[in-house]
Amino acid sequence: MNALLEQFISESRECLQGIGEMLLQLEDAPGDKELVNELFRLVHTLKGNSGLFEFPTMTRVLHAGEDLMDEVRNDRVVFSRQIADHLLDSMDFVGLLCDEIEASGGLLASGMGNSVRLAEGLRLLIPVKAALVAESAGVTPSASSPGVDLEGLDEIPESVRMEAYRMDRKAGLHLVRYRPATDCFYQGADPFHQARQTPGLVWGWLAPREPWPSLEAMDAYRCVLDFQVLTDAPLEVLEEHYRYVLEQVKMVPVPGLCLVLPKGEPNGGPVYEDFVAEAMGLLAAGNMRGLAKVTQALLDLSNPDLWLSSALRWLLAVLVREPENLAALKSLIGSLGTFQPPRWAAVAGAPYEPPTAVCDPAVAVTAHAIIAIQRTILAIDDGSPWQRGRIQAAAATLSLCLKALGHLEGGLEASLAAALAAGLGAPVVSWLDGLIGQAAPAKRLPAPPVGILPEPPAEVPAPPGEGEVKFGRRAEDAQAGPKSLKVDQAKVDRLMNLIGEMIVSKNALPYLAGRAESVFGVRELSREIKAQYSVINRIAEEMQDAIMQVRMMPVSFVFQRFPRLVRDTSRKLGKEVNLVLIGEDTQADKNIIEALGDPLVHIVRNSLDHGFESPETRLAAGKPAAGTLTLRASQESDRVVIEVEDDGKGIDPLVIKRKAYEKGVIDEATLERISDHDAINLIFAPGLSTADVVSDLSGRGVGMDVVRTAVEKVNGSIRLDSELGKGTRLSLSLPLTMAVTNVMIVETNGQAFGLPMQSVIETVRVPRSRVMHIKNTQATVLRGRIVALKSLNEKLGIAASPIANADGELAVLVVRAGNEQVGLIVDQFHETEDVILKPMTGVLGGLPAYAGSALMGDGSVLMILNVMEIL
Amino acid sequence: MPIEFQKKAAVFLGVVGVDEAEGLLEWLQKKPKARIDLAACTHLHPADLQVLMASRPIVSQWPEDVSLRAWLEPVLTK
Repeated sequence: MNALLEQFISESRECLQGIGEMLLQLEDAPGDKELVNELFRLVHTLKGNSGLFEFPTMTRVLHAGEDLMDEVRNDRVVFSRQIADHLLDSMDFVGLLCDEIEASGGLLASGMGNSVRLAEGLRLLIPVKAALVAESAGVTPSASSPGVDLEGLDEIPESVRMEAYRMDRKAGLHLVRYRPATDCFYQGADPFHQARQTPGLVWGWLAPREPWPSLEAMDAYRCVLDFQVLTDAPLEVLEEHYRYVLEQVKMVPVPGLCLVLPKGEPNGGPVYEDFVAEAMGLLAAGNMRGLAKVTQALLDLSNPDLWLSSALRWLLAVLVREPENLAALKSLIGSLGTFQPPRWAAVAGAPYEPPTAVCDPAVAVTAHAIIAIQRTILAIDDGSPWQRGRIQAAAATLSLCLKALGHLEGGLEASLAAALAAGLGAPVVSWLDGLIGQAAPAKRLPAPPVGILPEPPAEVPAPPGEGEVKFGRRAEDAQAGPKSLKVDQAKVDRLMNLIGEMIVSKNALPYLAGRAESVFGVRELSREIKAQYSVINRIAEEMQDAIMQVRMMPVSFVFQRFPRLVRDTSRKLGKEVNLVLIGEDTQADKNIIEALGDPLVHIVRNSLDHGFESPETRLAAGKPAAGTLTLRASQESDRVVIEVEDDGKGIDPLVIKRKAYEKGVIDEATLERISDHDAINLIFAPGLSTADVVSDLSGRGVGMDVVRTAVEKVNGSIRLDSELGKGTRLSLSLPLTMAVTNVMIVETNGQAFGLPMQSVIETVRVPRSRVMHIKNTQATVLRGRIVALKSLNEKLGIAASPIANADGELAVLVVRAGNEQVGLIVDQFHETEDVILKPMTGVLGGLPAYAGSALMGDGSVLMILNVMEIL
Repeated sequence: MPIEFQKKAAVFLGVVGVDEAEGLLEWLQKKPKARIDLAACTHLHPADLQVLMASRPIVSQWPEDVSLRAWLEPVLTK
C-alpha cells in the first residue's frame, strides 16, 4: 500500500469518527447550524478524498451523504433521527470499506450493491430527489423484480435467443438496461463502448428514447440512446462493469423461457387447429417423442419465415431443454392456435405464489396416502403373471394423484416403460422416490414447490424496505487503532521549550555542587550532586534528542519539487539537464527544512539560467550535451549540508569583478587586489547581477543576496566554489535544529555576553605590544594576516577600556563578519554553553544588537549578541 | 482523421470519437443523400451514432467488425 493510501485511510477514519460524533451531537441539538456545516464539511472532505482513488463504491455513498447534508445545510430538509440513522449506517459501511482497503489494498466489487442501496436510501430522504429516485425506482437491481419488464427481448434474432436458451448457464441470463444520462457525453462517457464491453454479452441492441428531431434542431451531444444487453455474466461482474453508472442501469434476471418468443409472418390459420388438438393430446398422454415427431413434421412442411414455424422451432427447443415443463409446453402449443406469443412475463410472476392453490390440503393428504400405497404395491415383486398389469394400474393411479397435487413433470411414462420391460416396479419406485425426495426439502408435504419457471436466482437482492442491510458495528468490535498520530505543531513546540528549560535548570546542578563545596564545605555532598547531575544530564539529552526527532523531516520534502522545476525550466531555456538527487532522506528540523525551500529554488534557477550552457556550446566544449545538476544532502555532525553542483560553465571572476565595479559594489582598489575566490563570492553582494538581460527566471540582482540572507537567518552559512568551464558548487551548511544554540560566553566590564559559536573563529591572547594603531583603528597581525581589532566595550557604548591579564595580554575573540575576520577585545573568556535562545520581544525587540536572551543555569540572564550588527 | 468526407460518401475509419459528431451532423445536413461506408470502422461514439440514426443515410458498407455490425444493422437499416 502506498503512503497516499495509508494517509487516506487514517484521515478517513478520523473523518468518520468526527462525523459519528457530530451526528450524535446533532441529535441533541438538531438546530445547530455550526454543527451541520461542520458535518457537511467532513462528509465533503471524505468524499473528495475518496474520489482520488478508484473507490466508486465509497464515493457513491459519500456523494449521496453530501447531497443530503447540503440540503440540510440549506434548510431544505429538516434534520431528523431518520437522517442520522441513515448517515450513521452509511458511515459504518464506509468504515468497513476502509478496513477492506487496509487489509487488501483495494475494494472488491461485492460492496457495490450495498453501496447503491445506501446511496439510494440517502437520496430518498431528500424530497426533490426522492421523486426522481421513485421515478427510476425500477432502475436499480434491488428494486426490480423478475418477471416484469422483459419487453424488447424479441428484438434479439431468434437464432441467438435459441442458442442462449439451449445453453445451460450457471449464472443465468441477465438483461441489462442502460439508460445513460443525457449529459453523459460531456463527462467523457461512451455508453456505447460501455455496453459493447459488457462481460458475457450475448446480444445487444439500442434504441432512441424519443423520435428524432430534424437534423437542424438536433443536438448531437445530448444522449438519447438506450442500450440493452443480454448477458450471461453473473450479477457481481455486471455491477463491477457498470460500477460508475449503476444508477443508470437496471439489471433484470431473465429466465430462459422468456426468450421463447416466436416471431415471424403471422400467416396461416385454422389449418393448424388440428395440429394444436393433436399436440395437446400427445402432451396430455405424455408422449413427448410423438409430440416432437409431429412438430418436426409440420415444421418441415411450413415456410420457415412464418410465425408458426418459429413457434414450432421453439416447441422443439423446449421439448429438448425441459421436457418436464408441461405448463410451458402447453401454453406454447396453445399459442399456436391464437398466434399470441405465450405470456411468459405473466407466468413468470407465478412462482412467487405458493403452489398450494393447486389443491386443498385435505385432498393433498389423501393423495399422498394413495401415492404411498401405490409405492408399496409397486415394490412387490412376487413374480406373479399379473405383475405388469399391476404396475400399469399403479402407474395410472400415481399419474392421477400427482396431477391432483400439481406435479406436472414427465418421466413417469419413461420409468413405466422401463418397469414394463423389466417386469419389475423398481424403476417407477425409484422415480417416485426421486420426486418425493426432491419435494421433501419444502417441508410442507401437501405443497411441493413445482413452478413453471425455475426458482428466481438467489442473488436477487431483497427490496430495500424489507431486508435492509445493516453495517452497524457493535461497540465491542475491535477497531484498528491508527498507527500514527497527528499532533499540532504547537504541542511539539511546547515540549521543545520544556525540555529546553529542563536542560537549563539541569545546568544549575554544577553550580549547586560548587556552592556545596565552596560555601558549605561539604565535599561529599558536592560529589553526590555531581554524580546525580550526570544521570539527569544523560536523560535530558536523550529526551531532547527524542523530541527533536519528532520535529525532524526528510530533505526530500524540499527536494521533491525540483524534478518538475528543473524539467520545466530547462525545457523553457532549451537546455538539457539531468537532475540527480542524493541523500533525500537526510533529516533536519522542520523549520530548517522549510527555510531551505526558497533559497534552493533560487540557487537551482540560477544554475539553470546562468550555469548551464546550451547543448551546442556544451558539445563544442567537449562535454556531454545534457548537463548534470546534483542536489546532495548529507549530515556532518550537528549540521546538515546541502550541495548544489552543476557541470556548467562556472563563474568567471573577471566578469564578476567588472560587473561589481560597474555597479559600484567594489571600488577600484578592491578591484585590483581582490582574489578570484573572493570575487566569485561577490555574487552574494546585494545589487549584483551577471546576466545582461533580465529574464523571468533570474537576473534582477536579488537572487543570491536573498539566498544568503535566508540562510543566515537560520544560522546557516553558504560557500561557493567555482571553476571556470568546469562547473559551480554551492554548499549550504545549516544547523540540524534551531532550538539549542551553542554560545561562547565572554565577559567585559563585569558583564557576561554570549556570542553564537558559529561566528567565533578563535580566541587568542594578544600582547598589548603587538597591537598596532592605524589612524584611530587598532589592528594586529595574526599568522601573517592583518586583523582589525575592535573593543566590545566601545561597540556597546561602555566607557571603560579593556582589561588585560597579569601578563599584559588582551583577550581577543576573532569572529567572522561576512567575509572578514574581526578581533573583538573583551576582558575575559568563559566556557561555551548550550542555551535556549529566546528572541527579544516587546520594546527590546527593537534592539538589533542583541540576537536574544537566554536563561543560565544559575538563574541569571545572558544576553546574546548579534555579531553582524554590532560590527 | 477518423471520418473521411468524400464527395458523396463519408468513410468511417477505426474508432470514431465524440469530436466528429458536430462535423458529421453539419455534413449530413448538407448532403442528405450521402452514403456511409462503415467497413473499416471498429467503434463509433454514441454521439456519432445518434447523428446517423437521426439522419438515416444509406449505409453502403457495414462494419467488418461483426459485433459492431450486429449493433448497428437493426437501427441503421431503412
